[in-house]
Amino acid sequence: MIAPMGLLALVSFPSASAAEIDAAGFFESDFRLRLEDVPAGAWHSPAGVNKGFERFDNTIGGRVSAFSGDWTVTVEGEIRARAQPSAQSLPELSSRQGVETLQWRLDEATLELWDAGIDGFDLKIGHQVVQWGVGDQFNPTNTLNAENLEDPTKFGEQLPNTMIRGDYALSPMWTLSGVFVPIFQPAALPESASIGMAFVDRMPVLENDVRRDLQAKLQLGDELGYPTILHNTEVQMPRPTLGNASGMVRLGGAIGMTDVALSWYTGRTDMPVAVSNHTTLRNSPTCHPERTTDCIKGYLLTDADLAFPRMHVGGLNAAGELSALGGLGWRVEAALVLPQRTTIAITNEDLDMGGVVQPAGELDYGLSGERPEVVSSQPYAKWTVGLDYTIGPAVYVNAQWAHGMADEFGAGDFLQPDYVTRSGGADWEMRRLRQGDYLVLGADISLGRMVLRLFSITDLTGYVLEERGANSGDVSTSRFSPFSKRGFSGVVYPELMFDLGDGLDLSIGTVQLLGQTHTKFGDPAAGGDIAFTKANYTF
Amino acid sequence: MFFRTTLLLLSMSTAAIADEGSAHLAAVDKQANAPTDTWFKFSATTQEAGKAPRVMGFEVQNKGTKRLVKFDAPSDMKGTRVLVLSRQQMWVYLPAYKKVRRVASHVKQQGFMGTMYSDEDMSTTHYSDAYDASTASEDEASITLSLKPKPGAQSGYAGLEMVLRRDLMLPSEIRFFNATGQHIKTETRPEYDCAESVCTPKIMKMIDHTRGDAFTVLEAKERRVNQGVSDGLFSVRNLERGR
Repeated sequence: MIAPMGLLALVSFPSASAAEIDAAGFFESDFRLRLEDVPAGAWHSPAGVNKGFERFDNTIGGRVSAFSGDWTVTVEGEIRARAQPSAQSLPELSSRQGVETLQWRLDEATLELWDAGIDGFDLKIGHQVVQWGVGDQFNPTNTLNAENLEDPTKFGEQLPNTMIRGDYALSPMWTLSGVFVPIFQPAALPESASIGMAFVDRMPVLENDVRRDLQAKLQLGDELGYPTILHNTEVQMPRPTLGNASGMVRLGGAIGMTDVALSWYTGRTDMPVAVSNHTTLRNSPTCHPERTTDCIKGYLLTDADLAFPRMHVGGLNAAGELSALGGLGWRVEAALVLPQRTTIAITNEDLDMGGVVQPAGELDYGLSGERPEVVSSQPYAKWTVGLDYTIGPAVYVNAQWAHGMADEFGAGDFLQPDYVTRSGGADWEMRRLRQGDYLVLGADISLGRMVLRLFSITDLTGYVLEERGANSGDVSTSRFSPFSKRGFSGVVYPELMFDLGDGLDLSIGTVQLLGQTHTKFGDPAAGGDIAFTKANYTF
Repeated sequence: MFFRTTLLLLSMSTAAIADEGSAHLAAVDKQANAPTDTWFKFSATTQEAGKAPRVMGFEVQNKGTKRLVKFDAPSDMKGTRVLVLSRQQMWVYLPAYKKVRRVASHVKQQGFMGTMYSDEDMSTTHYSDAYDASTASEDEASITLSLKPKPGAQSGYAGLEMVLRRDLMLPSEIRFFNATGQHIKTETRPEYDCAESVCTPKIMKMIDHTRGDAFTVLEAKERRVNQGVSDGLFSVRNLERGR
């Protein structure tokens, strides 16, 4: 549908040779080291990564736009050469693609029509990113494009998707916008996200009794010599139908010295949620290569289906300044999320663990025939409140309170507590509010031709240890503050950037992830600490 | 009686100087904003001690207090755009983030895109709106005005001295002072382009005395006046699309 429209529009206008052409390009070399081993998983099913070269990518890219009086065509893309060969077999070594890893990315391919039929109405069709939201990198109302979490140093980046965007200027200051996204796109996760598959104790089930029973079963399997491992995951992508399309309307403008925008999104979360879990048993006696008495009889293999629940998001954005405080800049981005209630089906084949038998079928949840929830329909809020200020000619500081991160979906925060399990055992669970609170601090310090950028995130949420009595079943809780050893988690990301002139920049930095393995940033799935150097030339 | 008369005469004289200064400043604003709209293609060269010169290229479209700036050089700034609707209303479009952001006034004393011009310098189009003026001195060729911020006006400067060319009633030099009276910056406008009965600065040089006399020279390479551009050009929507 879109391609014929685009072609029709192109043939209706003068040829591009009459248009003004604008082009820009870049080269980037990105070398990273992982500074320490990131262990995860048990000895029989290791999932961690070792220290060493994390990546050595060399990328060229560019943007070309053709402008005419009433339209613009823009193409932006890049080719990335990755140092790591992808070949995994002898035949793949015979293919250049298997030895030399090249990745193509199309960041934009759009046709824009100005005053399209109606004066003041603009249309933009094609592969694009729509960036709304006044928060810096934390944009809970900016839900049109999926998150690109592939690279932690480019946090906040979004993936382009095919969209139709219309903007109508109600006045010079006020614009009514609408975006239609025909095909759903999920978030791109970091390469280290697969490490998270090792943490099967992170049960997503909301009902306490069901979840604790599952933790006990997990522990029982371990004790019987049948540890559970996440064997396979399958993603249920929404079918490309009109019913699965998403969209947003937005009214934005200014009231006095304050920018204001209201928005409404209907679509799906881009973060996957487990909706089914099927377990089989594989007998495979194995012993630890060194500790010969440390043996297992086999595995409980779990296959999980992941889906993307629907959601509606009402958004409010406002930004301005406080004159009484020297022009201190402020911004508020708030989202009210109405998620779709989502349940999980937990089934298994016959599981005979040396005489302890779990017959095939679906688990009896004890919920009067209902399946347990993984996402409730309870509405919840996310927000970012930010301040920024300039001290003298050389220092810029920025502080934000982010309530809820991009990967946190579902109700549960300090206003209406509900928790997510970060680790667990037969009679205990380490848990945390589903929507965390984060203090984000940043500063740019200009040092002549160098800029020192300091960035940090501190998890202010805290953690809760729930322990159950062996016989009574009573649950006792211990709370760990965000500044305690078991409750602390954070990111420190300093970067020193050198402007060598004529478009050449060099930078050196590190991303340090702090906290124990059950915490947000100490999680091995976050990928561990890295050091990096980047060279960037623009032309 | 003598003293009262003297004081009365003195105060009348001071008021007259202030009124005259205000009239001169109003004349400057009228002259500077005589065209309905203007468009310039600028080259900006910034030179700081011990560093290589940094050259930028940008286009500026002006209409009244409104201004739209588009950068095309250096390559790392290409595509950056700035919209100024008034001294308090300024937005920037950053192509790397594909995002429009309001510029709070705390950054307006920082160099505009790394130049010696502050955002405030770049956004001031009508001095009379922000400053009260009195005549400090005058001779056959020039008039020197002393400018003080109006009560309630947000200004990064405690005062300005503006030297006007009598022939054009436009500034040839502006000296900027901070709250302690220190002379911190000087802008000179040695050459005007007066084609089509409209005079606009051909070259402007801003020297920052607090940074070892680092300076930025703005040279107007091309200009157009009275093109009849619409107000709709100066909108956040237009800033984002970069048309």
